[in-house]
Amino acid sequence: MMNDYIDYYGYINNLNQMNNQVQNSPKSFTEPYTGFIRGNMFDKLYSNYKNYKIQELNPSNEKEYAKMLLQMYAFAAHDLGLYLDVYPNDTNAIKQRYEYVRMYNEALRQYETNYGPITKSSALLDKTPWAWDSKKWPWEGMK
Amino acid sequence: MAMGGDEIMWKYEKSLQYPINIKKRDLKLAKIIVTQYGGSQGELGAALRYLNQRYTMPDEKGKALLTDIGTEELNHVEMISSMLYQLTKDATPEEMKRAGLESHYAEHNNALYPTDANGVPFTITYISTTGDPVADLMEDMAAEQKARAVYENLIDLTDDPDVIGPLLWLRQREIVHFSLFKELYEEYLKKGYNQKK
Repeated sequence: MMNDYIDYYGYINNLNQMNNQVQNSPKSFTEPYTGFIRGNMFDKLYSNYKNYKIQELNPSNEKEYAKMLLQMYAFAAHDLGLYLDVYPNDTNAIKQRYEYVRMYNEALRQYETNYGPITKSSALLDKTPWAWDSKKWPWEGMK
Repeated sequence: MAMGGDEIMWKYEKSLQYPINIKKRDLKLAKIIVTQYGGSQGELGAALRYLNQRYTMPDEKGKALLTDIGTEELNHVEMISSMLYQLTKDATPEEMKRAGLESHYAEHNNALYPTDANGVPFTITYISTTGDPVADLMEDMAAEQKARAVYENLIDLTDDPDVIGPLLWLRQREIVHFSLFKELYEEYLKKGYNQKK
C-alpha cells in the first residue's frame, strides 16, 4: 500500500520549510514538487493556460514513486542551474541547487539499487548478465 | 536524458525529464503532435538552434545558457517522441489509413520520422545563426514564444488528460526559457554586443 512508504504531505511540508530560508534570492523559487509538476521553479514566471489545472502526479507503486523523486530533484537542480547561468553570483541559489543535486544523487542510488540502472555508471553494470538492456525503455511508459 | 549537471559530454540516462504515460491510442493526435518533433517550432529545431549558436556567444553566460537549454531541448525531443510512440503503438495499416496516415505508413511503416503536422519533413532551414549574439538571442526569444503558441494550439485540440499534462508542462518550459533568454538579451544589448568593433 502507498501509505506504508510515503509520508507524502510530511515530506512536502519539510520542503516548504526548507525553501522559506532562501527567499533573499532576487527570484523566489518554489519547492521541488510544485516546481516539477508545473514545469517551472520560478513563482514569478508561472502562468497557467486558460482554466487548465496543474496535473498532480500520482505514482501508483513504489517504483513510479522512486522515479518521480529522481525526476523531481533533477528538474529542480536543472531549473536553478539555468537561472544561475544568468545570475552566477547568487550564493543562496547555488546552495539550494546543490542541495537538490545531493537529493538527486540519493534518489538515483535508491532507484538503481531497487529497479535497475538509469546511468551508465551504475554499479549494477559491473555484473553478468549486462543489465543495461534488460529493463523497459523510458519511452515505453509505465502502463 | 542526462540532467545531472556534471556533464563533460552528453550522457544518456534511462529517464524522461517528465513522465509520459498515455493509455489510449490516438493516431489523429499523433498526426498533429509530430509538429513539435519535426515542425518549424519543434523541439528538434530548438536543440539544434541553441547548440549551434552557443559557440559565438560573447561571454560565459551565453555559452552556459545555450548549452544547458539546448541540452534540455534534447530531453523534450525524447518526450515528444515518447508521446508519438505511445499514441501509435501497434496501430494496424487499416487504422493508420482511417486516421489519414497512409502516406506515413507507406514511407515509414510505424516508425517515427520528424515532420510537421502536414507531413513536411524537418529541415535545418527552420533555424538560423548569425554570429551576432543579440540577433541570435532575439530569434531564441521568438522561437520560445512560437513553440508556446503551438503547444496551446495542440492543447486546444485534445481532451486526453494523459496528453494535456505533458503539453502543459512543455508549454511552461517555453515560458521559463523565454524569460531567461530575454534577461540575457537585455544585458547583452546594454553591453553593446550588437555593435561591430
